[in-house]
Amino acid sequence: MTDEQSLIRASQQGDHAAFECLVREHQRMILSLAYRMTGSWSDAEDLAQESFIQAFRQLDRFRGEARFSSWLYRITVNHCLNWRKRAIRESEIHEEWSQEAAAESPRADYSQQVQEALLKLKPKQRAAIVLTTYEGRNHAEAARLMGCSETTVSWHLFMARAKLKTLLAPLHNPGDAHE
Amino acid sequence: MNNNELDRLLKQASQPEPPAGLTRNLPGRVTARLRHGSSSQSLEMPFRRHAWVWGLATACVILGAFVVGFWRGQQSAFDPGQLADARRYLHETQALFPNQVKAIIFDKNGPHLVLSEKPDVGASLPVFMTVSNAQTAESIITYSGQQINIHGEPYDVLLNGNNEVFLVGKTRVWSKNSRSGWGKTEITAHSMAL
Repeated sequence: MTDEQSLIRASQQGDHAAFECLVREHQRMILSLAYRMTGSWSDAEDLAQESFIQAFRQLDRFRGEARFSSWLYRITVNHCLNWRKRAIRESEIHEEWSQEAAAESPRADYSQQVQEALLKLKPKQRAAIVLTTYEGRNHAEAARLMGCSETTVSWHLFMARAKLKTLLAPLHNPGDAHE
Repeated sequence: MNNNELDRLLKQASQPEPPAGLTRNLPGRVTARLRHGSSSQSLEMPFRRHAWVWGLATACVILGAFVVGFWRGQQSAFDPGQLADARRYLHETQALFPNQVKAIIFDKNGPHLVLSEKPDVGASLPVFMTVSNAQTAESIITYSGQQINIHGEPYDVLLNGNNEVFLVGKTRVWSKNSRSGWGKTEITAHSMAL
């Protein structure tokens, strides 16, 4: 039995300390996903907390058929897609970024513009981009995580890319790698 | 722009580092919320805050209504109506603060709720008491197994198998049949078990 399996087993029996170790192990992955989906570390933390708490409460349903990280990831994706404050925060973040853009470095400004463009996508389109482009998942994995078919993921990606190409066109200079 | 160029452009957008302390504190915050049974502290905070305010407001209204009726009958001897009121009141307060109510005290300043910080007050039989002397008069609703203060001294409230109440302190004990050492302090205590 691996360390992770031992921690999962202990957590399933209500051991909060064991679960805290699991949170520590997986928090960067979860926070990163939540940040890409929200564009805010504060909201990413909220979502991460909610996801971990739901995971703890549903641990008895985790049978080990999938990797624990994938199972946790799916819970987080669902939370991100159902995020109630999303619309409000998106408009706030848009405003914050508009105000702060001038004060930031060119590199940060570039990253912010990309993140801002991501936030203009519909949540499922954004999730499809985050999972495939940033997290390196293939369409089948993204479909499992999002709870939909591969065809649907492909459609979300098609729509997302079309929109992003328009939104990010000002940043695109052929031959410029931005590195 | 083709898809590869778009992907490259997206990947070049670096993700900022999380604020200092976020990854250090997150695991502890998650387990703290688990220990306190909070399901959605941050996402539902506005709702929870309002629910808390409404809960307190409702508790105050109930307390106010109860205390008026209670003090109206304060001069008269203990009667079954008071016990019924106390039961109803306890039931309503418990609904607002499940497993947190340790005692409800009525004194000259009005009602006071004694709540546990966590919902860890175990189920036991409720007790209704009055404590008075020449200067003060208090009525207390509490549970068997809880501790109350009488004139600054702590007493364990205990019910025996015959539903008789015992107050057990460090220096003296009170029961219906053992009242010596209490001077002019008058105590009545009744199990609220049906």
